[in-house]
Amino acid sequence: MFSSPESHAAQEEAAPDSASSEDSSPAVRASDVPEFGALDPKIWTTVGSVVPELELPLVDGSGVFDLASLRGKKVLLIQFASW
Amino acid sequence: MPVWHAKTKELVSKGELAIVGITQEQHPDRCALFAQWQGFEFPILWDPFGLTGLSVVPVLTGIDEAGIVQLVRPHPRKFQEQFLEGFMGKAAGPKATSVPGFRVGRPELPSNWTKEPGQVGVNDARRSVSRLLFGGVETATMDSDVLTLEAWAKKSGRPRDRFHAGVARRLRCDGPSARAKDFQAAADAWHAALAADPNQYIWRRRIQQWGPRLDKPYAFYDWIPRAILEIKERGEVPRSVAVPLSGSEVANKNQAAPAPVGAATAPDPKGLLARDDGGLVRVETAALLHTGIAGRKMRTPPGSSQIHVTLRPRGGAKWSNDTDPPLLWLPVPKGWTAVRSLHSFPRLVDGEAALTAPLRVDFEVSTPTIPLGPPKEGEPPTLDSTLSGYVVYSICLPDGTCVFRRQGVEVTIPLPEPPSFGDD
Repeated sequence: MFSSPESHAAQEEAAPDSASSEDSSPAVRASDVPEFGALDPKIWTTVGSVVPELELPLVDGSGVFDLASLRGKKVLLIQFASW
Repeated sequence: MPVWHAKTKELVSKGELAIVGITQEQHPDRCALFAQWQGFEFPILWDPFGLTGLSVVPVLTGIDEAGIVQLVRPHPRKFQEQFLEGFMGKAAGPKATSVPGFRVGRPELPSNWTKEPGQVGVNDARRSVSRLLFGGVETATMDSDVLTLEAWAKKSGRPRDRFHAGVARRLRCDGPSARAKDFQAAADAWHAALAADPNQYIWRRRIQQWGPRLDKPYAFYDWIPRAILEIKERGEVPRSVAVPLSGSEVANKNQAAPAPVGAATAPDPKGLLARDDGGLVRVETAALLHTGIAGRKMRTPPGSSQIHVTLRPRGGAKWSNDTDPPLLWLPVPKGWTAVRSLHSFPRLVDGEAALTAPLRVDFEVSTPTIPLGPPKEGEPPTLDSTLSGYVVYSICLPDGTCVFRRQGVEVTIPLPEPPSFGDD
């Protein structure tokens, strides 16, 4: 439907590490690899689920923060956007 | 969120409650400015890749001392019974066991690109997300991380990996190692991800942020000028916003569309200006489509598309600060609509850094409706969707000599494939 990122990459100015070379290996089946990319979103919306470790940078650039560091306190976690 | 901040302030000050925010925005500094404006004192974590897995925000979660979720989506009007009595007043559950779950971890040592794309594995992708997340737009391994995530997305075929690749492309677009097609590649990757999972509203919002006005559920960042003003009035210094706001990012669908302006005169109708082949200024274009297109087969993009054009000085060239800003001449073909054909880039702001900073302009165009059914005999099978024009600008060479130059611009709007006729 849309031109792929690869097709756009091929249009770019020459780069020493261009990604335009074709990947001839067979696609990996999802079941072949461990899931990577995201937590199960039900964690945040299911009473009784255990919040996992999650370390992320702070938006103000002042460092990193691990949710697990708040064990022992009651926490209100607010997932939001400024828009 | 301000309402929850206000309601819980006393609990936080007594040390009875901790608040943590997570935002999935592409630009962390904008959320940091929002927090400063609103007086938020709690930590806000940056999750541009969407590692928390949510498909929509806001989501509020009450977590007890043992790390167990005890309250979901509380309503501010039920603060007393839901939050104070139901959550704060409840004893902690049993001690939670550590959940391996998911942890990207801090950046690992930079590595050079040593793998063929076909050899990229999930651990390579994980490392690249980690480096980009913790290293920002100036990560030394930016190029190899972008390549890794694109190669992994292609290999896995999973929508979320496509989304990750788009986030990486846009991160590079905003940094010193930007490539000409980064923004378009990001948009294409996000569209591909959304087409596979149209219910992922955070991915949809990422496209809509830069998309056409009528595709926006609300204005995304129109609050920023007011926030900066009010922070200054308080006697504070507002947090800086690294990437200037595009017109699309402050556009509001509830406001009337800009009225079309009258016919403009081409800035160089006879083509007399000397040409720049891209050695002094690189022209970058991107077309952001309406997200209504995701997952559907249709011939006409619904609504309009948002065109973004960026001019980036290169090779030691600098903008001239004593001439008019660059102009873009981009007439649309017969049957298309656009507010204007002649677009002026913004004037330079003060400061030496502005002389080499990219200049950006964005605007909407609408294609004519493509008739349903197979093309008539003799008609082209699809609409010509490439707009052609040029930019003119004054640019100063490294030796200080300033010259006027012209450079061609082409913008292609990726129209959908025609449906297979005969299918339902």
